[in-house]
Amino acid sequence: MTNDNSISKNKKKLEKSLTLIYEIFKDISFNADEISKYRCPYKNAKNQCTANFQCRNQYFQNDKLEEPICVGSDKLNYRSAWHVDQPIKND
Amino acid sequence: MFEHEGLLKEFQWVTKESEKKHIGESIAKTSLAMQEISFALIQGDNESVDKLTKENLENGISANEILDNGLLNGMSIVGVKFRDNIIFVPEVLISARAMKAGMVHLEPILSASGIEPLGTVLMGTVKGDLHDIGKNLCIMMLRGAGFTVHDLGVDTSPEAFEDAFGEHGPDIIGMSALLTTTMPNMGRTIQHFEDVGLREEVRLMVGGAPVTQEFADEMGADAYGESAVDAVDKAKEQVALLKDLKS
Repeated sequence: MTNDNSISKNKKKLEKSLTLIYEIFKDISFNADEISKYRCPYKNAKNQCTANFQCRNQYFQNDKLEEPICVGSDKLNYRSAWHVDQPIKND
Repeated sequence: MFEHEGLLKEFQWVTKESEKKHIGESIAKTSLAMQEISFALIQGDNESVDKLTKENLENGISANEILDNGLLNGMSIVGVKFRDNIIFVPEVLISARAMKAGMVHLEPILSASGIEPLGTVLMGTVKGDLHDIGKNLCIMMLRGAGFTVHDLGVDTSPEAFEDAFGEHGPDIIGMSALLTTTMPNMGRTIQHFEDVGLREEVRLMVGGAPVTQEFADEMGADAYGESAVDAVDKAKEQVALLKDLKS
C-alpha cells in the first residue's frame, strides 16, 4: 500500500512538472506565431539564415559553408523571397 | 545560490521582478549538477544534456529532480529570452532538441511511474516542399505534450510516409506544407494510404501556413491544425477517436 501511494505521489509530481514544461512550450508557440508575423522564423539571433532552401534574402559572405546572412527587412513580407522548393545545398 | 557562472550570466536576461524571484529562487536551491543541465539546455548543447542526464540518473538523482531542477529551469530561461527577443525560433528549436536528448533517458522512468505517451505521431513536410520550421515547432509542442514523435524531415513522399507507418505504427500522421503548389501532395498522400489499404489504420492530420479547414476537408484529412497548440489539441482528439474506432 505504501509503495502504491509512493508511486502515485511520484506520478503526480512528474505530471505536474510535465504540465509546467508544456505551459512553457505553449507560451513559446504563441510568441513564435506573433514574431513570425514580421520576422522570418528561419533568421536566428545572429541574423543568419537557417533555412535549407533558397531565399532571395540570403547573402553569402566569403565562405559558402557558413550560414548566409539574412538581409531581409523585418518591415517587408519575407515569404515572397522564399524559394522553398529549391534546396540551398545544391546551389 | 548560483554555483554555475554561465547559468548566472544567462539568468541576467531575466529582468522582470516576478520572474527573477520565481526562477531565481528555483535555481538557487539546486545543485551544481542540475545547474549544469539547465545551462547546457539553454546553450542547445544536446550532447551535454544527454550525458549529464544519464550520469545524474546513474548517480541516483531522481527523474523528478532532473525535470524540475535541470530541464524546467533551463527551459524557463529559454522562454523568457525568446519572449524578449534575445533569441529566436532557430535557437529555441535547438534548445528543444537538447531537452529531447534529456527526456529520452527519463521516458522509461515516466513509463514505470504510469505516465505513458499520449500516442505516436509521424511528422513530415510533404514531397516537393523543404519548409520545416512549422513542422519542427509542432514536433516540439507534441513532444512537450507527451506524444512520441518520429520526424521524417522534409520532401517526404507518400511511399516514405507508408514505409515509416510500417516501421513505427503511429496513431497519427501529420503532414505539413508551406506552398500552394505542394499542398496537393497532402491529398496525394491521403489517396496513397487509401490505395494501399491503410487509410483506416491511422488518422491523417494536415497543417501549414496556406492550409485551411476547407482545404483539409476537401483532401479528406481527418483533422487540421491551425497552429502548433491547436495541432496538439486535435492530435489528442484523434488518438481518442482512433481508439474508439479500433475497439
